[in-house]
Amino acid sequence: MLKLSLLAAAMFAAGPAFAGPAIDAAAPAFAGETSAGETISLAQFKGELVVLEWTNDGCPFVQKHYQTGNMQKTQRAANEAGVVWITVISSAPGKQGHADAARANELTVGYGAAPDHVLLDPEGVVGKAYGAKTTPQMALIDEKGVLRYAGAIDDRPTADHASIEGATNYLLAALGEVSAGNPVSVRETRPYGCSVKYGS
Amino acid sequence: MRLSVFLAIILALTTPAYAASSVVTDHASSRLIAETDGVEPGGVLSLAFAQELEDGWHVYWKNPGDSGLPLEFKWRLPAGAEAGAIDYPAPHRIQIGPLVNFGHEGAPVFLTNLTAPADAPVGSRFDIALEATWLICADICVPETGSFSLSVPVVEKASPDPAQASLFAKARAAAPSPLEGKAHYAVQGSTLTLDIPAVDVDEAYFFPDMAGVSEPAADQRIRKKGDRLSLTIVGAAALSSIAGPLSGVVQLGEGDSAQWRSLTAEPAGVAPGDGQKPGGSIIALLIAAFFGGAILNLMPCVFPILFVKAASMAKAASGDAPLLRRHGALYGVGVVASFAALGGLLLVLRAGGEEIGWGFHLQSPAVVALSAYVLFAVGLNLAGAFHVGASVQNLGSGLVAGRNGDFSAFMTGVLAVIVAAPCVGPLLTAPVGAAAVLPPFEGFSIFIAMALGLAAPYVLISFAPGAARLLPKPGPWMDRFRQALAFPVFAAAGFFVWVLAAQTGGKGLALAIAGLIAVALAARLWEWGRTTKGFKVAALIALVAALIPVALLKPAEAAAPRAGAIAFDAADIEARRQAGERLFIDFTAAWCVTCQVNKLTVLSSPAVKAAFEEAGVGYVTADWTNRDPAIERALASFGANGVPLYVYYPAGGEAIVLDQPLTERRILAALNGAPG
Repeated sequence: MLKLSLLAAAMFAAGPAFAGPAIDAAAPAFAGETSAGETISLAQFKGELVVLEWTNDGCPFVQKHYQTGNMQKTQRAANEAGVVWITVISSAPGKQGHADAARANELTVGYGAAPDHVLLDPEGVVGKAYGAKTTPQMALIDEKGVLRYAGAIDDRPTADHASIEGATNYLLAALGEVSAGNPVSVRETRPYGCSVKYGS
Repeated sequence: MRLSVFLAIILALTTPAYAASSVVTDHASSRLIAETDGVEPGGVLSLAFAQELEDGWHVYWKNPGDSGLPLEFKWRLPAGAEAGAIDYPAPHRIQIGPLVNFGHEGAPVFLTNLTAPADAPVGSRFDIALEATWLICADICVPETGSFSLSVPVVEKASPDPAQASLFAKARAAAPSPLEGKAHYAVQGSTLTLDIPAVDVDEAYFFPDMAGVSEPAADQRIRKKGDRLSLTIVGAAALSSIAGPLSGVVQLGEGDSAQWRSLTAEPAGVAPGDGQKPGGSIIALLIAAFFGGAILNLMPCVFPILFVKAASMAKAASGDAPLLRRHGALYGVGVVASFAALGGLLLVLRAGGEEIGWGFHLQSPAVVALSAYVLFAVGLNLAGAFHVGASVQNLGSGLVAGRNGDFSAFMTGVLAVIVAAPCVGPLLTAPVGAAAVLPPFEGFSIFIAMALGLAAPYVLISFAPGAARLLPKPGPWMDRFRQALAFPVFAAAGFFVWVLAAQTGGKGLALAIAGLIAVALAARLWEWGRTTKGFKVAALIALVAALIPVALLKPAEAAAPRAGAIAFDAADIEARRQAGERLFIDFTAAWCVTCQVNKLTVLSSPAVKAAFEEAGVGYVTADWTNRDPAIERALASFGANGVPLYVYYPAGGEAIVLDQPLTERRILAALNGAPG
């Protein structure tokens, strides 16, 4: 009998998985400083839809979406739907894509991007809480603070600029469904892109 | 890199144009090479896509892991020609901060086959154009593209190009070879278990072909059992979409001696009892299930029923041994049939993707309320509050009636199973847990073994020659004994009411009490009906009225955890573990008698409380009284399928599942790091 229960114990699997939070459960709380010098927290946006976008300006997959104007188009569509768009930079200092406040603002202006906030996450705390693995990677949080979508921006896992044409934008699809009070049909996808350049 | 560019240029200059085409990009030099000096009409042409990567840079396997993209080929081939899939070299884990990618460093060679059209005229050229795209990363990532072209003659008889023979031979040797023997897999919630023939290694790692099936950065737990080896793998989002065969590559061992085997695992349920399972362990599980079932007879849930059966036996034994045997057998049939029904339902629901475990029927407040009603009615009958004539076959009468009791002997067996479920005891955790993951036939066998164990003591006594003679002679004492037995049965009914209160809160408790009063009213009306017409109809109406509260029962909001305890939340637990906290998880349910006994005795003892406080152990209550898929998944990750279960996480260490029965000594030993 002891053997059997040891056996049962051995069936346990653990080890640190780099996994994101569950979909349709409370999104992990976070707080941090933005490129505008403000401190924001997820809690303050209760009652509003929130989009998180992980970015790294040196990443060719991110460049595909910004150089073609696709990300800016997505941001403006989200703005019209009353979404709080938070761009998150989780690259550690010295790593590709790391940006201080000035550099982050310069990028936003240079690209004509329209995020409500650019969250500086050099320690990777927010990125890890959301299991952010790649840039770009998206998360959609509803008015109640529930995570409704996590994963890729679209269904074209390539850095090829021509792939934007005809792609299915998962984030906008989920946003449309949540705004209409409907369940999200594609709730979770495998994100594609460069790995997030965490410090450790 | 400079050297590889140089080599690529040399190779490009020294090999004939049909044999190779090369491209140098910022971080790689790549060549497309044909194995043979020509292709036959309808024949296969093997090609190698050989890359030399800059030091510290990697490209990706077909499943790239946490990030990255696999190699992509776009062919332009003569009409009628076909391109096959890419054969990748063995994958390696590449750690990028907290993430893990699957890929290749150094000089990976990717093989693929083209098939020439059958009508290609001999003497013509077979022209191949390839646009290859690969993502190459060090710390940063760069997508690279190369265009390659080959022109191969269509010939009567193609022969290998000797200059390329060693490259192809090496590439084939470096590719994973097929695993010998069968592989199986099982999915339990978010955990994937892969089972392969045993190999003499201490470490193994499974790379699923499909991306998003597993968490690449998570450790995979290896366990050897007889001639099998199993890997427990943390699943990811795509795991739930897996049905049918699961293919991938398993790495056996680490470092220079590591070997890679490709495999296609069948779902564990597809090949029942195919001889791959170790015979010893299933037999051990069956034996444990049988004795665990037998021990259930002594548990507080079943004990009153055993009393009642003893009384019934004493009465029937007054000279009617064949009847006693007959009822003994029918009781056994009742037990086995109920277990078969419950076990079968459990397996069917699980197969349908429901996340449920043993005792699941007690998570339904209606079942709990009805159990309380039945026990209350039996108690009233035993106490003499009402009598049921011999003409009516009914559960209550059957419990004590010696004659005409075939149906009731059977129903007693059913009742024994219903009340036994909360008492899943010490011996049963492993077999019941295993039953849910084993192939259906074996899982079902475990439930039957439990049933046979539960039925065995009473059936054996009723069949033992002369056992009836040992029982005391019937007399006036029997009535008093019978009436006395009412009280343990009332206690059992009271337990179910308490469970109901835990499930549904004060409102549910009020409904249940109203229902019990209606049951008591029905009993009294029935008794009046024995002498006055019409009252029996009224009794039946009262009984139906008792069912109304059952329909109104609703599970309460999640119950508050015990004072000072942390409510169960898998993500929170993971976070606390990462932060180095020590945690003790009490998987419990109100309907689980064993859990309640442990809580009152062991877990509340001053020694244990003091030890928890001293070691700064966080006490987590995972309350499974009502259905909760998250708790169900957590139980499954420990190989368990029911409560109680006690797990201790030392600071920064792996989980320890405490042996049962739970004792102070075992808890203290676990806290002190000694094996429990």
